[in-house]
Amino acid sequence: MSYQALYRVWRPQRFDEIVGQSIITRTLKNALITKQTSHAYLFTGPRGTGKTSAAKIFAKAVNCHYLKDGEPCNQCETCKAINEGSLNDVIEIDAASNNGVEEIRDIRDKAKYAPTQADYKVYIIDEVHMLSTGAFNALLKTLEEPPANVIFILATTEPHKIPATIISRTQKFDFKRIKPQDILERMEYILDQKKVEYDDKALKLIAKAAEGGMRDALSILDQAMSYGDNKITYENALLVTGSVTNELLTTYIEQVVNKDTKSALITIQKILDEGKDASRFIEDLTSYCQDILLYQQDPGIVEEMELGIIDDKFKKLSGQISDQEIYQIINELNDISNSLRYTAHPDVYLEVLTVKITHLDDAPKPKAAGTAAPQPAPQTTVTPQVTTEIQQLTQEVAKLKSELDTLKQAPTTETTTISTPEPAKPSVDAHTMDNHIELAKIYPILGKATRKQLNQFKEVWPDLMKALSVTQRAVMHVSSPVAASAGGVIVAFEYPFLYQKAQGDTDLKDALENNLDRIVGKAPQIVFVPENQWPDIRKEYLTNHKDKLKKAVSKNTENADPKVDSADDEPDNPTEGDPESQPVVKKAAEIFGTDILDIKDD
Amino acid sequence: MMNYSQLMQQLNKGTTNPVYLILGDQEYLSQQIKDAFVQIIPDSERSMNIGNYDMEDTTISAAVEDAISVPFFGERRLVMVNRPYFLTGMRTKSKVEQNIDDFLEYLKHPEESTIMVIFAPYDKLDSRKKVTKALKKVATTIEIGKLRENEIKKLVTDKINSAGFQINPDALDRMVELTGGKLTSMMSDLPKLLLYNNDTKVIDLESVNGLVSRSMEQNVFDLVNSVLQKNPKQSMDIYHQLILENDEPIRINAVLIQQFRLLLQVMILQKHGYSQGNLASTLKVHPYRVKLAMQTVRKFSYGQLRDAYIGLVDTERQMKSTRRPPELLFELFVLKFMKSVG
Repeated sequence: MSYQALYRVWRPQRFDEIVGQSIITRTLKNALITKQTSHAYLFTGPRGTGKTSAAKIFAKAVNCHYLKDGEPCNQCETCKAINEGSLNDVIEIDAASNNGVEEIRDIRDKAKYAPTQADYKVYIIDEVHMLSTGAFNALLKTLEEPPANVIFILATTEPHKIPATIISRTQKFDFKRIKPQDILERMEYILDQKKVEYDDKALKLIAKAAEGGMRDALSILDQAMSYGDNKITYENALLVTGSVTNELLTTYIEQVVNKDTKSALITIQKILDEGKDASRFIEDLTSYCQDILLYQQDPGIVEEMELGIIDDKFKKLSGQISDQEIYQIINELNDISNSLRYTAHPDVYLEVLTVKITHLDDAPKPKAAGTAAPQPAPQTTVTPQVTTEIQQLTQEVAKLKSELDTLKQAPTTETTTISTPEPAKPSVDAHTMDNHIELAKIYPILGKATRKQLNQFKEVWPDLMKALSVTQRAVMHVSSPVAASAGGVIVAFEYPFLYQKAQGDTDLKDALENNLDRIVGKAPQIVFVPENQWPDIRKEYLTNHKDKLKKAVSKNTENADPKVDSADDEPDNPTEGDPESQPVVKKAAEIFGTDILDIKDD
Repeated sequence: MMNYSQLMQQLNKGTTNPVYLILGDQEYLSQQIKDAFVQIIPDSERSMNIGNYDMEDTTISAAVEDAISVPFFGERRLVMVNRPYFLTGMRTKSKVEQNIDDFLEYLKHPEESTIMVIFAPYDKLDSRKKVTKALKKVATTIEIGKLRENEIKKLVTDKINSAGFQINPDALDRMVELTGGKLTSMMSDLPKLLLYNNDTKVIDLESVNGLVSRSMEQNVFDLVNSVLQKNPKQSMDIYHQLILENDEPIRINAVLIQQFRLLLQVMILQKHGYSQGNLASTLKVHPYRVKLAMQTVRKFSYGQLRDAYIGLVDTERQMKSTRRPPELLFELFVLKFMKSVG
């Protein structure tokens, strides 16, 4: 007898032998036991999940007179005849090649006649999604008014191509992908029966490569067997599935992580020498990287999917490499896989790739930025030219600051003890902050404050006062805007109690905002501060945001609009804080706490 | 006006009106009604005294002609008219020229011995049309389309109980979820469930998960949920499943983008003091979705949602402009998102 492929020899002959679909087979068996079979079934699911097998077993079971717990006996003449395909009443049609109206009409006409040998006529229509529209309609008529003792079993991998009218007239069963574990067990069973030796790792690899299809698994197994003289070895399984050995991959990635370009190049050459396909290698590499990422996220997932392919090296690797690096590697791999399509010299590309990914970190990359945006940010390399530019800018900023200082002497005439409360620290100065000042609102405004805006608000202030009611005006009488940006204005009160009163008065705020909206055409956020604390707040902001300010200022000077007077465009923040930025003062503040610190600028 | 159960009661008693209009897209119920009407005609007369007409390939005139003729050796004649598209504002590809005047004429004087049942599987009819007005005046209208969830559940439970079975509440909920609350598909899945649980006579959750085929929308929603619940494994499983069913990656991505955009919108507007009702009317989405979104939003920060949204947009750009496999892109997105919220 000629050789028969494994998946044909081991095609399930009983419902129990169908792997991984226990719920469906139980249902079908119950239907047979209770004699509640439907006249039409639709089996859907990915290839190799047992659709056709289930259909054949069902055809046998429904005609078998020696049914045992819903299973066909496989002994009686009908069962045997069906197994051999010689029973006239069980008709298998491949819809892929018989997809016309004519064929279906033929079925329809013949379905009318009663079965000759068996009890039921069973039509198994495989790949039913290939039928033409006309054929579907012809089939629909038959399904609508089925002749007695006829059962249709439709099987397909693509249920979405079946018209809803057909689906609604059938009992639909969705076959699920078979879990690698189930495939593994079935293969072990078959090999034990055949008395073939096997390597555990090899079977795991095959189970994974089969992607949930039993037939695929068995075909691969078949090939691996013919390679290795009735012994399944890991090497043969690798050859058949065409995957690069995990060891080589692991070694390669290790070398990449260690920036060992030379060894990595040798590894690549080794892989290519073995006749591996370059794009397959890239694919494997990508999925390996993916596994590392997944593993870092949740080790459980990978362990389940890869059936224990993980070894200690993998674990070590995933601890060593940062996800940033992996993202970069994946990006590179992607580029290469695109280029590989158009080249006749894949090895060149692979070598270039190797050099590239072993040198990924040569650009100054912030190592600490593990959680930052995963895309490789463009690295700013500091050239001498830039450095001088920065120096120039800093000088300019310093000059501007001192100018501003003198400008700002007027509002800061009030001499209060300089206390710099830092919001982050618990040692916040209690006595100055008793009237909870909304620093969170003030800072953004200060950040964008300009003199121009402030002037604008000062101009409209009298108008605004006029628009208020008498009592409101009385409260606001002692107030004046001290800083303003496009989105908000800070108003200082001469007397703290009035500040408190205004702060608690939402009506007043509403009135102010509404009137501002009327007068200047926008409703900025209004924040109140007591005047005696204003200089402190301002100064504290400056110390905290010095760096940012510097940048902002330098940017301003960089893009300085020639038409705008630079003083106008400057953040409206007096900088008397120069001494505060000095290391000595900073240190002092750290040691003694800011509240008892009194800085005198001589 | 009548509802479904009233009609069934009336038909069981054997009393009938001359013209019925069955309105609503609910295949299972209309099939039940059809069967109940057929029962009225004695078995021996069925071949002669029942007419079934589909308006998309036969004319209304033929149906009317059948209706005005006297029943053949019997008391009553049943004429069923299906898919009367001319009652709606829809355009169909149908090439049949319908002479509505014949129908109008019949509606003025319906034959006493004939029962005419019009099955309109549409959400609503065009009430401005003359023919619709005339029909509504004469016919007994039964609305079967708008069923509430508990009505659907009751119908299903009744059916299960009448077969001598029970269903666990969690299994019933899951069933509604998987079928998207479609009565017809729930009913068509019932026989399988009954068979599987034949020994215990109780339908449990496991069998529902194994046997009820899930609708495509349900899968996509499951995906969005599992992403939001920070479950990478499940997200990827569903994603592969969707791809396997030939769902367009871009479409799946679009659904995700839509959901994240809604979350962002809800979060931002909530900060501005919008209530659930205001949100629903401003964003023009269903209040229930807004409610769910409001619950979800609490688990995330603005930055996380923003990054996820931008990440999805970027994924879409890459799907369209590069040849990277969508699975990989999706996986990368999920991993980044999980990391940022984890």
